[in-house]
Amino acid sequence: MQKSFVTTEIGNYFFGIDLDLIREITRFIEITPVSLAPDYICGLMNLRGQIVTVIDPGVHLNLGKRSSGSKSSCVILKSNIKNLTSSDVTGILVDNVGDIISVDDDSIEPSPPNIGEVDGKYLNGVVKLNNKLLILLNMISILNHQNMQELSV
Amino acid sequence: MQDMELLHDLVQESREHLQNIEPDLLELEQNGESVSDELINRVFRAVHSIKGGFGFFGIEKVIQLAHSMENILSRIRDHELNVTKDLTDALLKGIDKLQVMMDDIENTDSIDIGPELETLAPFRQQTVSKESKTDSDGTQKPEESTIPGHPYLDPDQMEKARKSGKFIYNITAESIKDIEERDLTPQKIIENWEKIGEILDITVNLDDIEQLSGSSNKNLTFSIVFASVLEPDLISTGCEIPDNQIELLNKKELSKNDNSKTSDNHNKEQESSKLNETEKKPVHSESHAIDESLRVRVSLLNNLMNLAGELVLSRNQLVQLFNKKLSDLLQTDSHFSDFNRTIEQSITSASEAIELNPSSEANTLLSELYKIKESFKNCFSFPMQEISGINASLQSIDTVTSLLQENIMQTRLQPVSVVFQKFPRVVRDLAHKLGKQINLEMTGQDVELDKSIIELLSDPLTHLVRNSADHGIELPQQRTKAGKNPAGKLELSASQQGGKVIIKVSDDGKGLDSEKIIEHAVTKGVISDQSAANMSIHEIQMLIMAPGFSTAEKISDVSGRGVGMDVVRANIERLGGSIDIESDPGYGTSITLTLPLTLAIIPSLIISTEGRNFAIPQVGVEELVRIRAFEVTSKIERIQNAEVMRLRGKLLPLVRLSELLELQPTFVHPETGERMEDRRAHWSDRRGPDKKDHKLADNRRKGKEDRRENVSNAVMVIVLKSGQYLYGLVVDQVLDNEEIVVKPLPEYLKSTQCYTGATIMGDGKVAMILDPGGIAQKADLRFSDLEDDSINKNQNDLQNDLHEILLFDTGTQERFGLDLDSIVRIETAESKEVELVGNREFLKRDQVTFPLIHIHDFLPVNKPENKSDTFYVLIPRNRRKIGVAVNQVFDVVHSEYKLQTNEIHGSGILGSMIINDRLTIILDMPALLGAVNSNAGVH
Repeated sequence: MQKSFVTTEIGNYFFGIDLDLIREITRFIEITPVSLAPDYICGLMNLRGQIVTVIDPGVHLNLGKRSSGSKSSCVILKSNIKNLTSSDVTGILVDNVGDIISVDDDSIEPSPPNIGEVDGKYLNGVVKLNNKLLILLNMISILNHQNMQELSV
Repeated sequence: MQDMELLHDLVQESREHLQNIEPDLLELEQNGESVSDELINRVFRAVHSIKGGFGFFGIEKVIQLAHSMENILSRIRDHELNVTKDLTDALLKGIDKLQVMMDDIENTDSIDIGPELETLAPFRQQTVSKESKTDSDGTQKPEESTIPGHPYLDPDQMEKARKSGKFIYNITAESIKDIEERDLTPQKIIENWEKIGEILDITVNLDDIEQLSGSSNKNLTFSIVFASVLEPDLISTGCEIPDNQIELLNKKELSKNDNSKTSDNHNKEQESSKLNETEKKPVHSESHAIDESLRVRVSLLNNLMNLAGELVLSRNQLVQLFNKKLSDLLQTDSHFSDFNRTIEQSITSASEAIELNPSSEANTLLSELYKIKESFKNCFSFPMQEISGINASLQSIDTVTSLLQENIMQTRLQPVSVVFQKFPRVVRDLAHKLGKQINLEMTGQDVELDKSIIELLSDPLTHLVRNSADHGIELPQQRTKAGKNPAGKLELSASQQGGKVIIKVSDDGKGLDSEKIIEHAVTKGVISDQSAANMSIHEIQMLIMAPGFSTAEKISDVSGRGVGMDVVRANIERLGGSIDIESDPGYGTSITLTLPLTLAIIPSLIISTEGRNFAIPQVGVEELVRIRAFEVTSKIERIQNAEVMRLRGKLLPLVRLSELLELQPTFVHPETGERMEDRRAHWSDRRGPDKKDHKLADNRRKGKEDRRENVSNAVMVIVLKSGQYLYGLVVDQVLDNEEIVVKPLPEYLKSTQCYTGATIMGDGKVAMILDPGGIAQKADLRFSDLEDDSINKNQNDLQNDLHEILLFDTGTQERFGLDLDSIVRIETAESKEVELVGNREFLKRDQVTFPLIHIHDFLPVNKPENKSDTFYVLIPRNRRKIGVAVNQVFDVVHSEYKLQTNEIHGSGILGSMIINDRLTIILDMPALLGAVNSNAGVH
């Protein structure tokens, strides 16, 4: 079995997001910051009339807050993902979007408790590519409200 | 799957039936002996169709219960039973249980209908012996069947089927033999049959039902009246039912047994005169046209609503883009004409030079120049025609979008009767339980509200009605003693006022006891003793909605189960509405709910603070106060560490939005116009209980006076309502009034408290919608503390005599003054906007056209000689919107009225006084409006 991932850059790391969870990826990002919101929330964005909550995974991963730059993209996730407590449309702010790659299920290795400064709690595993390490994000745990609230407390 | 859908539809339909039955039953009870046949038949038909419908699905409990009730109802109709309270109770209980079963139709087996059947049983037994009798002579009863076993077959439908030349059959089907054994379902059969004809009525054999509860044999016999164009020899194959179970009811038989009302001569008529028939037909088709409606899934409507909202946003963006492009184009156009002129000039001067000093080289250059000019013209001819074309289609998109949105919104509107209809029952049950006599009067049931509001309104309204019945209306003895009618009156009314709906619950009971409320509030710690002394009656009455307050001395079964009026208030405010209490001790209480028509699109105020935009729903906005830069220090004071402002002698607690939201202070750079971070010590830094600190801060403030005087440092105070209290939200600027599409707040942001949702502005950016109630909570405003300040009280008294007077003129030498309180706002207008109807002038704003009046038409003052192109319009506080045209507005001054009434007087004029060294005529707005209104009546 093969699985497809969209490769992204967050901080200096190379992350993979499960393609099945992604609705679309947008480049033109104009985010309205929301005061008093938890710090992993970048703010809200207008995606063709729909309000998208933009989340900064850097806060979860212990990589610090993102500020949107010229290459920044927003990975918009599907809103009907299983095991998700909230039905809001959410997007993940990343520093750069690379490619779509397919990897064999077997080549996915369990993730160590941490990779460099990256917290292992939000990871699904790692894949060794030719010259890079692709870290697979566990979107459910990043998005899930309970986790989020614990984080904000 | 399809079965489930059919069952679902049936449940939906049955719910509607049940809802209709309830008021009918109550009416039955009230009318007692003089039961109208029409009414009882209506109830009967409803119960009957429920029984028939669920019979097909074999849902026994429903059938049993419905059958029991049907049985009793038929006794009532035959005047064998009198409608008593106990009887209605029993029937209502039955209806309740049916309703319970509708809620969980798949698990009715586990529901116990024993008690209901038991309460119904006595009414059945009394007349069991008569049952057979009525059945045997049933044909003689006027309302009895046209076909045996089908007493409630709709004669109209039958008539129609007959007239359209269909054959009518009475088919018997058995659930085991004809359905189950052939691997069919009742639904399948209905579907098949509906393809070849029309099912007019279905009944289940009564005897079978009687046996159902006991025996394991679940064979039911259905009797179906079926109308079809199929000939008698084909019908058996078509319906897949053996020949011997089908009986043709030919035309003669039908007409012979026809309804007695139409009687014999109806038959003759029908056969002899075709003319008569055609006359009747339209009546039939008309009654069908009225019922034409579709059931649509709510989710679909919600989607449509969202799409319409998005369309509105896209349109706004399109219009903005177009306008920007247009102004760009116009600018380029002027650049091009400049360029063109330059070329022409150089051509002229070049040709002049060549004439003086001819050379072939120069000639070639000149012709080149001509060529450039021509090609330039070709390239950049300005596409004015296209632009106006685009503009026209843009305008039509604009209109269509608005209409579309409006219409889609209307599809979601439901009459308040949806909520109101349950109250006759609620009030009746309560009255019986409490031993009171209560007459419920309901008005305005056809007023419409958005479905989502209707749904959320049910609980708070029930609470209010229960409260009125329980605590408001007294026992009959007490009422008689007080000289009132022993029967209390409870009024429930709905009415629409502009974009709002007002719902009122009022009773003529004992009213609210202020003493008790205060006592209770103080013991509960809701207010302090001191503050209680200073409260107005209205404020005291509003206390019953304060959190932690409940007046009931003992918690009764009826109302007050821990949830109090504060929950009601919170619920109403969550809907974007407000609640008010008016009570006259001894004479009753009236509670008014003000609700928006819809939740999805709301009029809002767009404000900005520190460069960020927010929307505030208009419903919560009481008024706007602008504080000019040099007044900021004098108007805003601090009391016990909190900022307050004086508004007409009352203290208004203030909340700075930028501080509450912890926004970075910014300022606009005077030269670059850029917004930059402000390093100036911020307001919050100056706080401190220490007096010394305070002085220091004061000094620092003085040092910064220059910047404070800058116009851009003026602040706007938005006076917001949260519960019964008012507070001021300090923002930088009020930008606009806009209808915004409300998008729900993402879950991740719920903990912030300050927002109710988000919206997308015309420029495509997201803006947050502020929640007045949440902000008050977040800011931890303590309203009661303010009343304690006794020094302020004295100052209040002083300030009360001061009036804020607006100074203006009408284009003549005369100066006018007007109490600022009497007007809502001031608008600018251009004379070309004014439309004339007869000799009256009208102005259109925000889709509302309102009359424009001139002061000189109503008062003995000079008429301006020439009209200016732009002028100001004062909008007075008035029930009907009206505009007063004035030439120029100068100033607002604070002054006492030192009026001279001898020289200048008349209706509409209070008097005259000297303001800023000028004689100023002070107008009496109410009197002026009175004159206008009476004048308008004449027109």
